[in-house]
Amino acid sequence: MGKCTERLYNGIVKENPTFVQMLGMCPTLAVTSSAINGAGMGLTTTCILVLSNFMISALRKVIPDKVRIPSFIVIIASFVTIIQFLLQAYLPSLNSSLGLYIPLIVVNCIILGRAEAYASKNKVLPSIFDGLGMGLGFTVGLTLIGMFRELVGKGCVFGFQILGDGNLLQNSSGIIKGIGNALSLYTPITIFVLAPGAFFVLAFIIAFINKRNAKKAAEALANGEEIPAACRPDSCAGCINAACCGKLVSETSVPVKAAEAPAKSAEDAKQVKKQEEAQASSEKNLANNKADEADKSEEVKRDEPRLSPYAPTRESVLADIKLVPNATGKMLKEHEEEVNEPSDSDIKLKETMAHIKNKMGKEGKR
Amino acid sequence: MDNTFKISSSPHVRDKRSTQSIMLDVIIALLPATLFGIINFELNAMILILTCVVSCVLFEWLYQKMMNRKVTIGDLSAVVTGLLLALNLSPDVPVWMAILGSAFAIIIVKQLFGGLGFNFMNPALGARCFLLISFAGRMTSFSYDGVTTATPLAVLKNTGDLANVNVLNMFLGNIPGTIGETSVVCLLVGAAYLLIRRVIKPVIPFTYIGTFAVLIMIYAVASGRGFDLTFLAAHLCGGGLMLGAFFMATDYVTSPITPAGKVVFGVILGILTFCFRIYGGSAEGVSYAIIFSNLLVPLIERWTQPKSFGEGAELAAQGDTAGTKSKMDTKSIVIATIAIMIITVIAGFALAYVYKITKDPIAVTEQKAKEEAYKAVFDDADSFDSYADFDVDAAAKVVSDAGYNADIDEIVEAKDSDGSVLGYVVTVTSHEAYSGDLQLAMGVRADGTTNGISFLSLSETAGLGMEADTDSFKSQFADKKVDKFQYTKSGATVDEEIDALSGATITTNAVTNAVNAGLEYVKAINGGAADSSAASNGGDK
Repeated sequence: MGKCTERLYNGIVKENPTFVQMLGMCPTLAVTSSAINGAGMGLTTTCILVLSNFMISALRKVIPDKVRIPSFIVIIASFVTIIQFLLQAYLPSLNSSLGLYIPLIVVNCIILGRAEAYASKNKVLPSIFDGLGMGLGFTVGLTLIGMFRELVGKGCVFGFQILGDGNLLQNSSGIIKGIGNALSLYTPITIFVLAPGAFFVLAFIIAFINKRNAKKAAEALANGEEIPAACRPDSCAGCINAACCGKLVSETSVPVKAAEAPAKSAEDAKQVKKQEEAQASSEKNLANNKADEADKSEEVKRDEPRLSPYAPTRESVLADIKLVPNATGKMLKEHEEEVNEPSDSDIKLKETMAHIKNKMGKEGKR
Repeated sequence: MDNTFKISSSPHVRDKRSTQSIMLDVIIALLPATLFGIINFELNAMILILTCVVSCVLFEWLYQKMMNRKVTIGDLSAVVTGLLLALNLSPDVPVWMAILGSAFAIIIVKQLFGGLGFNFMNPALGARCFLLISFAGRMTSFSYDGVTTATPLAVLKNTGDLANVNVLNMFLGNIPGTIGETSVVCLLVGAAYLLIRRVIKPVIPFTYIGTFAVLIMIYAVASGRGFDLTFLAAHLCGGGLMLGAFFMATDYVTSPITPAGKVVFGVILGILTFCFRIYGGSAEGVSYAIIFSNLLVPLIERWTQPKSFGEGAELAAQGDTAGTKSKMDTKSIVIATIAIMIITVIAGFALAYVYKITKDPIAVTEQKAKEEAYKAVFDDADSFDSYADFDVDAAAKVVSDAGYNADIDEIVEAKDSDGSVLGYVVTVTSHEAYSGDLQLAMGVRADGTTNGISFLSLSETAGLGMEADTDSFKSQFADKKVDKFQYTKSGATVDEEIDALSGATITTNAVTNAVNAGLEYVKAINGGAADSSAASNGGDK
């Protein structure tokens, strides 16, 4: 998979902003009273996300680190205002139905989140595709929620009445009319197009997705396969739980550290092989970049996760790791005792510790 | 495993009473009201009560089986939930609505949050509010002796006249209402049983009813009604106050456990119920008040938590330790400032440019939208010209003199192909709508006949107030020559009457008043020439 298609897949499925990252909840809950509103909001956000990711990625070496957030906001706000002017001029109906929510895109955390987590550290083209993928993922999420709410709350799909009295099927004849008459007995449950309905629908969709993912993860682990896509080390960059999930690994440090770790079982060998491949490919990337030496050092610096004052200490992370159950529901400690030899989780523990040590050292120097 | 040294967490002293016996007491206490409901509303009530109880128990069993949890239907809490839900329903609701409500109460409010003891609001009331919001019309239509009538509280709210309600009947229960709320005397018998058996403590119900009564009396005196005990009695006996205060506000799970918290809880309930009943859109507010207060319980408990001896002393001794502030050096400040200035300036220029190129298209689109709105309310006109003598201040004076809270934004003359004036299109903004202002364009013919309305901006609640933007509602304002519109809830019979939107009285009122304001202004500019009845209002221009 190329980097660009990988970004698209990542945004739409793997790290879907609505259902996986839970970002941009304000528009998600506020404008999804119908499918068409959800789709409109999603597509408008997509436009702005692509433009702002492009601009921020292009300016990533110009913007000083300390004022990056205000700069991002200025760029995003300008694009939002431009889009609003264009909508007013050429798509007035969409403008009037989204109305108030367009200026709110400025503070939509998906946009700032992608600027901070991806666009400000990566090259222009992948950033554009990252914006596109995230935007489309957001659109899919909003449309899905909107469709469900509209169907249950109004009996409509994209504005066409199909449930409840006076539905479209009743206009035809024969058996379809019969179905229409049966469907006309449905009474729309108004609460679903009101604010509480958004919470109900969102909660149920997320519960469904989580259930499916948990099942997949358990199966994969039972079959001795690798960790499922949702929690692979390379997806930590955009994960809000990155600091506390016990798998703290940044994109560059994985292959190096993992290669040092002893590989004992066949499983481990498989994993290491995969990581070596990843390393090779990343080295290839680096080679391509060699022409611009300053650029490279800049990039390496920016790849370091930025530590907040609340960043975990070594002790707290170790404590957390012991507390977090792995996919089979067993505590790591128990697991250790059972196997009595370095397992996946042990290696991960080592990696994590090495990584933290590394980072602590750098912090000190700074 | 060796059980010898097993240590359990507190409490170590246990009461003999179990959840089951407490729930049984509640059921016994509810029996008088339940039986009275069945006598009062006959078969309908019986069917609904059975449906709710059976489906609540069934849903609980089903959910716990499906989730591989311990089945706890034996503790009777689901029976109580079902019974309370049924007592809170109008006897006219269909059976499927009762089943839907039971599913919501048990699965969403109770089980999804962890089952009995973890629900954050009263399940029966949660379900009642769910149904009330979803099916506003069906849940608030009450019939008594086969005739659909308003509850005494609604009559009191709408007419403001005590002569229309019989307080003795309200006390005994011979009134329309939900199945279990009508008979105050039966509810009080049940409440007395609960108090004697010490299942509930009197603090919450009495502070609740007391606060409510005091506020009602203050209101009665302040609103010129005087110290009227009948008014107080009508408010105490009407609606679900007694049912709510004794049986639902006292729910162990959703009320505070601290003694001071119980008092605070009761006071908040009283204030909320008073506000909802007197200033709210509908006549009843007990269920929303209890649900609101349920949500506040964690805060109330934290606030009223008793302090253990000596607590807080160590904090006072500690004092503040100031955090070290990171410093930026001058150079990086200058660089950062310059960088962000450049970005802002470039962004400013980009915005100015886009504004310049989209300015004309925006104006064209807005003009087109306006013309379309005018066309919608005056389809036989050929052109629209602005009215020459339009004066915003004079228009505002006419409207406010007539007693409407609205603005006349614009008035245009609708002309046919010869250029003769057919009538006017008035754009009115009303400030009385439920959420934000609403703006509508209305066409009025030269002789004062309305020609229809169309909304330019409407941001009401979807499914309720937004229903105003449907043809069936808007057409009520078309082709009528009346002095003034008014809305009714019981079916329009004459030209002047508009059928109110169900559950959206405020929106209906705002639209009706906006149209009236527009009519008033057209009368004023016609100077009484076209319509003699306008002389009293518009003659002074």
